[in-house]
Amino acid sequence: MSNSSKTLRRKFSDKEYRHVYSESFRNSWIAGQIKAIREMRGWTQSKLAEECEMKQARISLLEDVNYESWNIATLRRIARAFDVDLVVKFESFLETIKDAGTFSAKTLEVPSFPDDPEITAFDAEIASTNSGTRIREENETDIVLLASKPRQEKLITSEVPDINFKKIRTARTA
Amino acid sequence: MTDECKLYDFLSARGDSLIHEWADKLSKRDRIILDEKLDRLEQGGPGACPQLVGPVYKHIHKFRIKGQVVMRPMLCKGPFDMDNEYTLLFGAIEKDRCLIPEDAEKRAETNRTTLSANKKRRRAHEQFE
Repeated sequence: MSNSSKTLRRKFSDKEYRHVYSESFRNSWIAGQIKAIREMRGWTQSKLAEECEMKQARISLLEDVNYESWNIATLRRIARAFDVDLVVKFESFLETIKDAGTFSAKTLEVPSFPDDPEITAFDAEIASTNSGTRIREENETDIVLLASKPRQEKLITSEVPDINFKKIRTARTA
Repeated sequence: MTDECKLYDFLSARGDSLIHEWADKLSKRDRIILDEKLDRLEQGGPGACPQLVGPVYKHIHKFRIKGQVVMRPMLCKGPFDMDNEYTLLFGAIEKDRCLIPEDAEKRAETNRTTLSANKKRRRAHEQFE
């Protein structure tokens, strides 16, 4: 545990401190995430605005650590544009202490579903440990992409009972 | 500028932190918000804190932090390690788009010049609350 986390834990004994600090921290986090994820995608504010059907000025407003009037519907539109999940839940202040302790430009980044290495690893684990598991809905995109490459058709058309995401992803990038 | 940076407070001739003297006059709520934003700056650098760093006057970065009042702490990069440090030089608030005190930028610049000539006129930043 870092010194800053220990300091924060001590200060969080004060109710006003923990509430005001956490609200301010979450504002910083969300604004920072919108910017970090947008830059990770190589998008301008205008591009994100286009993807969310918003004005660029609105994106600029949301990418401000001082912004505090968050609207869940707006955040959902942004999450959809980035192809990431949006989680809104009540949480222990311990999570705030932990998150505050790991804050950096890098920790704000979230990959999109198709680019998420953890999803790929998860798929590989499913494929290797549970041959009876079927997760077909996420596979549609892969099948379409594979279908355009005759060399890989075998994977799709050979009546494989359980689709192996790892193999498919390897084939897709081949 | 790297991601993480170290924060310092400019000291008066008597050895007091000017930014702490200024923050003592703010509400407790605003001091907590100030603590939070400066923590983020230290951990993530300005790149992870969009729009925290406001316009620059000469060498002075006029941060913008909204609380019950709009706080405008004035900082400079370095001035000794321009890649890894910020020094809090002076504190102001903003009302009706005007700084209070009006000459805050100039006073911050004067403090920066003083510090550049005497490294002992600063100390590691400590939180306000």
